[in-house]
Amino acid sequence: MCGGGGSDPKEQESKLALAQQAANALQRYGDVFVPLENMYIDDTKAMFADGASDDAVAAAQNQTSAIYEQGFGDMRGAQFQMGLDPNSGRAVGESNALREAQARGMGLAGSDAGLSYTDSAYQNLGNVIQMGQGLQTQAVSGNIDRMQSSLDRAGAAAQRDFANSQSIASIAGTGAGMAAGYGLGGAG
Amino acid sequence: MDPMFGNYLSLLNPDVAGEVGSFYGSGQTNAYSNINPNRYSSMSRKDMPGDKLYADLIRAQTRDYNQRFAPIENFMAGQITATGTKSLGADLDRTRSSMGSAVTNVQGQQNRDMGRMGLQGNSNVANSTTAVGGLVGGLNDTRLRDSDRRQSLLSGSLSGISTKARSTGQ
Repeated sequence: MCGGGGSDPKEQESKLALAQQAANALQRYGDVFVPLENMYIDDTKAMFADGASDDAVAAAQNQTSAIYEQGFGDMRGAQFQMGLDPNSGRAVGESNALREAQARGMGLAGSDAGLSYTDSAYQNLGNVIQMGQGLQTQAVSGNIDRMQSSLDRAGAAAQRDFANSQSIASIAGTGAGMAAGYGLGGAG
Repeated sequence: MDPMFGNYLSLLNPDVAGEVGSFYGSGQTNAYSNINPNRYSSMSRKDMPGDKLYADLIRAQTRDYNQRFAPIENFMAGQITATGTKSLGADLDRTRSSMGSAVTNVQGQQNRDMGRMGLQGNSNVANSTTAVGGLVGGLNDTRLRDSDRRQSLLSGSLSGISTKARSTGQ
C-alpha cells in the first residue's frame, strides 16, 4: 500500500471556472440563438399548414401563363398576315392546341411549385433535427429559387409548344428561333 | 416574468425550475435561462461544485432537446408511410386543383379570345388529350416525388438520429 496523504480529494479550481464559462456560453446561446431557432421551427411548422403553398402555386401558374401570352399574340399576328380566316379549321385548331398546351404548362408548373414547397418543408424539418443533434444544417432554397426552377421547365415546354405552331414558324423561320426571341432560349 | 419569481427559479435546479416555471405559466421556453453560473461558487471544493454545475448544464441541454427537438423528430418519423409520406394526399389534391384551375382559366381565355373576333368559343380544353395527359403525368410525378422524399427522409435526417443515440453516453 502506498501512503498517499489521507485528506479528502478536492476538485481542481479550474474545473468550476470551466463549468462557469460553459454556463455563460449556454446562457448566451439561450438568449440570442434559441429565439432565432424557435422562429425557424415555427416557420417550418407553418409550411405544413393547409394552403401554405397557395401563393407559390399561383405565382408559378401566373408566370407560366405570361410565357404563353406573348406566343399567342405572335401567332394571331402571323395568322392575319397569312390571311387565315380566324374561323378556319387551321386557325382554330392551332389556337386550341396552344391553349391546351398552355393549360398543361400552367397546371404542371403550379403542381411542381407546390411539390417543391413540400420538399422544402421536409428539408427544413431535417435542418431542425440536425440542429437538435448539434449537426451542421444545410441551406434550403427559397421561394424565388424554387419558382425559377418551375419556370425554367415551363419555359422549355413552351419553347417546344411554340416550335409546333406552323404560323409562328412561318414568320420566324424556325420555331426555335422565335422561342429564343421570347427570352426562352436559356430557360430550357 | 416577475423578477422575484425569476430569482427564485434561478436558485432551483434547472430541471425543477423548468417544471415550476411551466406549471405557473411563466411562458418559459428557454431552458438555459435558469442556469446560475454562481450557484455553487460558495461550495467547498471537496463537494465538487464544478461537477455539479456541469451536471446542471447537461440537464438543461437534455431538457431543451426534449422540449424543442424531440417533438419535431417524432413528427417527422410519423410522416413516413409504407410508400411515401403523409403529405401525398394533400400533394395529389393540389396537383388536381392546379390542373383544374389552369384548365378553367385557359378555357375562359380562349373563349374570350374567340369572342373578340366574333366567334363562339367552343373549345373543350378540359377534355383535351393534352390536359388529361398533363393531369395524369402530374399525378404520377407527384407520387414519384413523394416516394423520393421518403427515401431522403429515411437515409438523411432520420438515419442520423440512431447514430447519435448510439454514440451518446459512450
